[in-house]
Amino acid sequence: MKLRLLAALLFAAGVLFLFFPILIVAPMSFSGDRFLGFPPKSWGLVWYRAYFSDPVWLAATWRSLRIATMASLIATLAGTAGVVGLAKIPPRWRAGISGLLLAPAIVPNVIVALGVFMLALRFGATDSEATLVLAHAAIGLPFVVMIVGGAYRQSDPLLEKAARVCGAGPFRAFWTATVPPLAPAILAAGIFAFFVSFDELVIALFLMGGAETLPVRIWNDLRFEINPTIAAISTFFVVVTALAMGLAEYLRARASRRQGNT
Amino acid sequence: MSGEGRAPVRFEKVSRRFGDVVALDGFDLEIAAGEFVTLLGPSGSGKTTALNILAGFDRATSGEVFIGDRAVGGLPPEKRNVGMVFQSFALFPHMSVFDNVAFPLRMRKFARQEIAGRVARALEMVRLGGYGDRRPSALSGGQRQRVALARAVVAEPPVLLMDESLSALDLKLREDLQEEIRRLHHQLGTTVVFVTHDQGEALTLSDRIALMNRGRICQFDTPTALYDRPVSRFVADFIGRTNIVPVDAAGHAAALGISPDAATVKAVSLRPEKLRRALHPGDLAFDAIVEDVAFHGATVESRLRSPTGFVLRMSETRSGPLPPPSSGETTKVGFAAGDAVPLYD
Repeated sequence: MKLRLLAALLFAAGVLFLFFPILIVAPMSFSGDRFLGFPPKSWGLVWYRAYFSDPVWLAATWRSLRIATMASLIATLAGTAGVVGLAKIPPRWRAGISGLLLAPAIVPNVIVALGVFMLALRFGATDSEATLVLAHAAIGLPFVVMIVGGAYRQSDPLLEKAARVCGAGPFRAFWTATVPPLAPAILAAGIFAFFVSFDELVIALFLMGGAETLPVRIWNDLRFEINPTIAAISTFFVVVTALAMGLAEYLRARASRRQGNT
Repeated sequence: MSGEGRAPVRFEKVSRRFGDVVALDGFDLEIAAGEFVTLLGPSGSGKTTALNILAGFDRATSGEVFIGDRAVGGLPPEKRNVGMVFQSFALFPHMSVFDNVAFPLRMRKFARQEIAGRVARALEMVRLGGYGDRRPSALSGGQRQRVALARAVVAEPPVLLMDESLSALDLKLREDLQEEIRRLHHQLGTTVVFVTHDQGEALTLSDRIALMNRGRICQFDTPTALYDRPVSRFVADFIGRTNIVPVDAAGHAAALGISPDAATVKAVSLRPEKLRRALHPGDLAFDAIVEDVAFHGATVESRLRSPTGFVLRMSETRSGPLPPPSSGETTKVGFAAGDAVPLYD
């Protein structure tokens, strides 16, 4: 009993620690003051209005959304293909290749950034959204491989064989038998990869000289002045992210409920 | 649905090696059109490898497989026109029962009308009419396997493959489905290749059984022949229970009155239910000490010791002429000379 109480306390402390920044930032975003401070002396929606009416902030936001969408699509497609391919190659190659696929999650982003930057210099591809999309796809890839890979290992390998015997060619069997049971995991992985890119600052700093992504804009803004716009943006995206993750989880749960455990 | 499309199946010197492991070793088998043949054997005997090669999931290292007149060794599974039922059902979880059963027809580009009719008939045949809208997850294990059966036969493939198809079900369901499969086979007349490690299932269902061990066929025969005239120790021992009495210097066989006519006979197989205390005229007989008696419902099983100390099992029906023996009693036990099956290995 005592142990359980201790565990509950530890858990509560952990959650509080994780939520602490949000608990500070969210109230600050509704501040009516001119400077970032806690607790705010007056209240208002000024900073939300400031964010949504500032073309620079909005351009950075759209740019980030665009890059994250592309990066997530590429990471999801490549990662899912990687998972399926990994299962079909000889086992002795598997450990090495799966290590390569997961490496971007282990290498610090600043190292990835430096590497991509030097490579991009050689090809004259710095200051390019496309380069950033590819780099973000690479760091999103490990999450896709882990999430989709977990679902794939639990899926029934006989389904694809059953589809083949029923008369479906390899592609048809893959699409009709293998993919649908994985769809919730693929969707969840896509959302994950999206936010990996959307949040990413360091690589974007290296690669995006003129055109700022949202994290770069926040970074540059913080360097010059500290105003509550950033609190408003953060709060806004915490809510959006929570909703997206909640939706993904709801879809996943509904799909697995409908399919049962066959 | 009629069985006009049924086809014979032939394995010709099929070998399959996985590195150093020989899973199939010059496997030869001829299955007649419409025949129900079971590949039976312990795990690792090569039965599943043979089925995978027939289905197209695996390729023979050497040799060829024929369905009808067609060599199918180089064809992918979808080009072989076979139906298959797996052990773990392998129903598509995201599709309704109807869509599962319709799948092979859609792959074969049947018209919508035709599909609806055929699926309805197939579901009716496995007594699941009206279940089309359900999801597989809403069905019991037995019902799922019946859906899998319907999916496997709906396109009327000339050959139906079953891989341990009943092993995931409990005993009662298994017996129900055995009946169902027998009925389906009579109704459809397709050639069936059934793989199992369960000899009871094999004896009940099959026209002929290919008993396999270490990648080879030990005996390919009807269930009765396999049971009554095993050709080797392995077969005698694998199918049912038996007493294998060695023919050697210790004189175990001689003490039971057995004198083989050939010098090459190494042992005889004597089924427990062929031993009896109420002797018939002409029976070979010996004095046995009853060491233990166990009641098994319909039968009484006794452990006997022969004059040379050899232990045999006897199984008597309770409706026999004599009351059950008692432990420690000495009694005459006999058997017909023809029931001692000579073994040469």
